[in-house]
Amino acid sequence: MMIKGYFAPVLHSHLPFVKHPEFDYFLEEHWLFEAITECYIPLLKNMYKLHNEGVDFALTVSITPPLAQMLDDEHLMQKYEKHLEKQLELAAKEVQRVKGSEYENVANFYMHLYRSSYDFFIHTLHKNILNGYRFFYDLGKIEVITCGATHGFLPLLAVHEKAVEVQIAVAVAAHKKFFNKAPRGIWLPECAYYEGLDAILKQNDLEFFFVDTHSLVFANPTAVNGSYAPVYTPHGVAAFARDAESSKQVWSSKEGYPGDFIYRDFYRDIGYDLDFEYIKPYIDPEGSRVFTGFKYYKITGKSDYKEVYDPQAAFAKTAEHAQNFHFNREKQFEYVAKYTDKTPLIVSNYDAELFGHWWFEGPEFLYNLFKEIENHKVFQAVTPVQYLQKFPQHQIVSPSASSWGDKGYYDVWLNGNNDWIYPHLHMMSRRMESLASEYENSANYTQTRVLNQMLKELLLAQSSDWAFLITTDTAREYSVHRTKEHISNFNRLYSMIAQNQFDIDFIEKLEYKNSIFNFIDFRIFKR
Amino acid sequence: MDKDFIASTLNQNDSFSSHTHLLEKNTPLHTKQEYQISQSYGVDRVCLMSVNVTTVHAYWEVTQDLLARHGLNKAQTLHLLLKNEQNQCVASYETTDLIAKHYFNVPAKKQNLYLDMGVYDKGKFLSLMRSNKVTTFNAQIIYPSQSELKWLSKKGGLKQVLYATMMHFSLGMSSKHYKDEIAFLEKFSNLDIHNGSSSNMQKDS
Repeated sequence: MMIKGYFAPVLHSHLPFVKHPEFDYFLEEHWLFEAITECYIPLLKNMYKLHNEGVDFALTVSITPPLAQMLDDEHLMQKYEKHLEKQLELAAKEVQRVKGSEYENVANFYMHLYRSSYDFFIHTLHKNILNGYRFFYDLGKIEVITCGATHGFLPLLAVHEKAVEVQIAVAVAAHKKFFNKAPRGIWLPECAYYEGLDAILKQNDLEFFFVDTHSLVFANPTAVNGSYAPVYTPHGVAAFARDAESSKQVWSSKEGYPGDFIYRDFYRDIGYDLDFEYIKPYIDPEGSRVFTGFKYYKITGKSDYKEVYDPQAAFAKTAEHAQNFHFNREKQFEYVAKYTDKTPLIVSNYDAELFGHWWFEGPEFLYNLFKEIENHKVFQAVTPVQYLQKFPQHQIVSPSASSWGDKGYYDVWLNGNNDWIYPHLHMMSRRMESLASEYENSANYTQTRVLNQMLKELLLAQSSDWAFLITTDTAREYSVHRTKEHISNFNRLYSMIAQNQFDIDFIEKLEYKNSIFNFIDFRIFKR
Repeated sequence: MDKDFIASTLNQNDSFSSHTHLLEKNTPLHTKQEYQISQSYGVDRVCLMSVNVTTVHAYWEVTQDLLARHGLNKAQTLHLLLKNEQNQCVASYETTDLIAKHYFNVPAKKQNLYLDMGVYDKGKFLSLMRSNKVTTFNAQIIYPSQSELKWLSKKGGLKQVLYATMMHFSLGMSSKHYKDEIAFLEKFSNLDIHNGSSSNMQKDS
């Protein structure tokens, strides 16, 4: 049977670097723990399932350098293991608490879920999530790509272009460190592109990146195959555009599959619902209620009325939705192929955390989707590298500056609430560049340590997450705090260099706490 | 504690809805340490950044040393002239603030802009410093030349392809210009917009 099209699913996995060794429990570290349990482990487990069943699949996964660093961090992984043990303890208590009630099936489901996650983490992954990704990367089933070093919003850092060059160069180096090979592609943070960025990507041997749909529609000239084929930029890097239609089918909580009433309700969680004294050992020790991951209800409908969740029925529903998604892609290919000169390509980009965390059953949907693709063989799942090998010739255009954020441009990361960040970031870059030249030949051990730590503080301050969270008014206080912390640290270290007086205790504290990218050398900032 | 307890919680309002999928709303800060950062770096600079198709953002810092070198006092009115490649002023702003910011409205077209910051002395503009250059966003379809199009798109389905690319697009961006372009395509491409869908967006096909 002739292939009607190619389908490139892409999952962007990212969390900001959060590590607080000074606390036994730190709420924001649980962003990582929740993502591991609900997203990364279920995705990997489903990949193993496909692999063991002999089902072919192709998936592109971006794992950002901060996420890779955290997943490789011994301190954080020890904390995660303890977290899983606490979850198992809570699961056992829940089984007893709801025994004989209509919730019993759900409690047993969670008991099994956490037990199997624990076993998978300990015995299959050997306490390192990256081992799972490395396995499928080396097998060629997934293409792991990199991102900005700390997910910096590159167009706004480009006022000082060296900052962008360093974000990319460090990202490539981090990828090599964590995956033992050079990345072939990159997920631009927030899919944010500006004209000229492709030159920096090319310098770093990156072959492809992703943009939002309008970047190719408003390209110069417009992409004649729309989002249904990649283009080459003036510097010869391939740009793939997000397909809006397939994105919407999964992303939208109203029209998309995750909003189906049978799926698990995200918001109702025993961390908020149960008696405080009962749940106290499993939430923030300071008393703030948080999500525990134990959720007993299905979406049910649009009112507050909720019915008990049925995991087996919900997981079965993903097979139906996978069939529907497959059916719609087939129709989409048939329609578009009438007008495109190439066998069309659909690129579906999603935040990885959508699958499993927000849409609890999402990883099962992906598993079923790959099975559908294998069964029907009317279109084929590919990675960008595989597609470019099949079809190496494409139109050359200059993609339009854009992002995948709300309204499509840079508003989310630059507005009246967060614009105070940029004068600091630009000045820090300027100072870093100046110091990198001045101390290039320094053999002074302490100076080198301080300058390397300054670069880490700069990179951490550049994370787009802080500006994003301030705009969305989510974890706003923490985001402001983190931004100011890294700026303050950088300035204090700068003063030490300027005065040639060093506070070793302070330097050691920062090296332990903000321990990202221990391989970097400040000289990378030299012009 | 039993199922009745859980049932009783059904009437509680959930105030922790989040659209970020992962992060919880404004949880209290777990560290008491506060960081004070100065707004001034003691350098003269003016910086320009694009925000969206109709907005650019500027920030600046002017030291008293710079003003003194030009014989100006700190209450001097400063003028920020936003200029294009032809050095024509497309927008301007006046201020006496030495460290501040401003958002400029600009025409929705792709152009190269920079800021010229200075003072007026006897009607003549004295430039104190200039910003970096920025390129604003393109939000219009730029068609290939006819010969290019013939060579690139053998089936001649450019408008249909663009329409198929754009018709479901509403999540990442919703700029007026994008909608204008869709309207443009609907008008000139002889497509039936209701039959243009390539797939069924309903969940139950």
